Amino acid sequence: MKDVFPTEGTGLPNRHERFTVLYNTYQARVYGYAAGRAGHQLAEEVVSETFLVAWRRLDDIPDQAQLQWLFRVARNILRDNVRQAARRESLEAELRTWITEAVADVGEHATERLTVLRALATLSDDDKEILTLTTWHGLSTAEAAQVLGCTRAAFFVRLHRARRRLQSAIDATDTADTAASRKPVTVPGRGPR
Amino acid sequence: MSRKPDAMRLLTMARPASLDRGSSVSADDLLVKAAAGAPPEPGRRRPRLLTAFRLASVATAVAVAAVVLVRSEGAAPSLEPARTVLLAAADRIENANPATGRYWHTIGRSMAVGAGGQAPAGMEPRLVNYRVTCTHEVWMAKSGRDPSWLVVTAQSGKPLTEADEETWRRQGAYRLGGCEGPGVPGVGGVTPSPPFAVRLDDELAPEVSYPQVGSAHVTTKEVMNLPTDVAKLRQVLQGWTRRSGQRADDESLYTQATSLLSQLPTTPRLRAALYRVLADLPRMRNTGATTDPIGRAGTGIELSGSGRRIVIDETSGRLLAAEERDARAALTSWTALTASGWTDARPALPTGIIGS
Repeated sequence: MKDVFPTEGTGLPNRHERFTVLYNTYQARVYGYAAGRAGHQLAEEVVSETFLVAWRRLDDIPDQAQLQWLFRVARNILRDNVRQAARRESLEAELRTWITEAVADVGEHATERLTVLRALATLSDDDKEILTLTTWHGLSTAEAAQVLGCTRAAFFVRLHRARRRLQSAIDATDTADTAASRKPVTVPGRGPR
Repeated sequence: MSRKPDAMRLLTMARPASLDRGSSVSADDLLVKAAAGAPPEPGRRRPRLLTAFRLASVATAVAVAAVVLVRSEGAAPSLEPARTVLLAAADRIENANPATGRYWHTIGRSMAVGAGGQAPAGMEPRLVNYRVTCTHEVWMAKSGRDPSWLVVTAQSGKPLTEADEETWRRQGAYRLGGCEGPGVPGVGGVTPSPPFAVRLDDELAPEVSYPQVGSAHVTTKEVMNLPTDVAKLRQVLQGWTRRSGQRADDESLYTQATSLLSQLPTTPRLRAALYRVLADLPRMRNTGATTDPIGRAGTGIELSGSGRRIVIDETSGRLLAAEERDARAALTSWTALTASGWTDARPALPTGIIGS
């Protein structure tokens, strides 16, 4: 995905305006990343904290890599300012919500979407992050590697492994589904599909 | 199901639309809060969890304060101020033998209460609260030519309550284990059964293998080059915190000083300076004679209101343990050091090795 660099060459006069452009351009992306890593409960505050750091360090943000810089800050905040147990708990709740929504979904590819979300839920936290940086958050592999602070080669290796684990989780889910000859799925509070 | 759609395409299709929701705070609101120095408050919806953490810390503060109050009413009120104890420890350490060696070697035990969940494919994992214990060794090389290592020699874990145990069994009774005590280099992801070694200070994987001091990842070289002048040391530590995008405050200094004292290669003069940085924190309180989590006698010094405490041996000035407590003053994690110092020996590595 090609990003536009909102403050580059625009000759914007002051910090305030530069910040506003930066915020309006990227806050939803940072929100999506935070929600994907820690659920909606935490996302709002992570976005605020991330952009407070951005405000204080506006001149340090590289023009060519603003989004990666913001993701990295958000990632550090998620790692250091949020208790990991609470983050995981919030994310588990979020994953359950997504799965519930996918169960209720009757649109195109609904079954596949449900299967892949269930498979994703079984993976480690690191795998979840690596897999979703490129598929959900619109980063190129080079950008995702920058966010994780690793080389592109290392990122490919990790992505490859995570992808393999996702595939086997999908296969296992499919097999289980077939074996159960597609029994109706029951979701608490919703009754049989 | 014979067709095999690509996993990444499936995942892309399954992206939850709610990820695009965005924050309800406007740029201007955020700047107003930034100027006021207060944490931001979104329009209608108040932030939930992070705020909850801050409330939890306040609750901890209240609980800890209550404990201290009870204690000081009951016991003889002759405790020396934490500052006096810490400065005395600094003086004692400063004159220790300054010789270094090939490796800084520490042996420790740790405990942590946490929560996580995994389940067989096709089953939604539910959260299992657990308690993990670990015995580990850290070998930090003085020279970049030698590799640094975390060696996990023993690891075990079990679900916290009967309900957790039931969930855990339903989800396949997977192996629980982890080294998650304060100051222990983190071991992420799936680990083999112990013993195993994890490469530290590996420039090919800085994010996962560089020593973490507070919120910043640093190199051993940076640690070795820390100034021993207290004011300069404090400045560098605060700079590290800001470099990682965080606010530098008492808690960040406390965390940095304890992780440096407990795990990283330091000279006696630097250790003395770190104790002096701690002594300057106004929130440090002497909780008096105590035993550390593995039963050794020492003196407890806490950062009041944070639930965090160190136990030191006043005679030698040595750091025995770092502890963290929840709002009800129950221990949630600790690391106890059983040995630490410089050596010219090299680690005997187990066969299981993570990292290059």
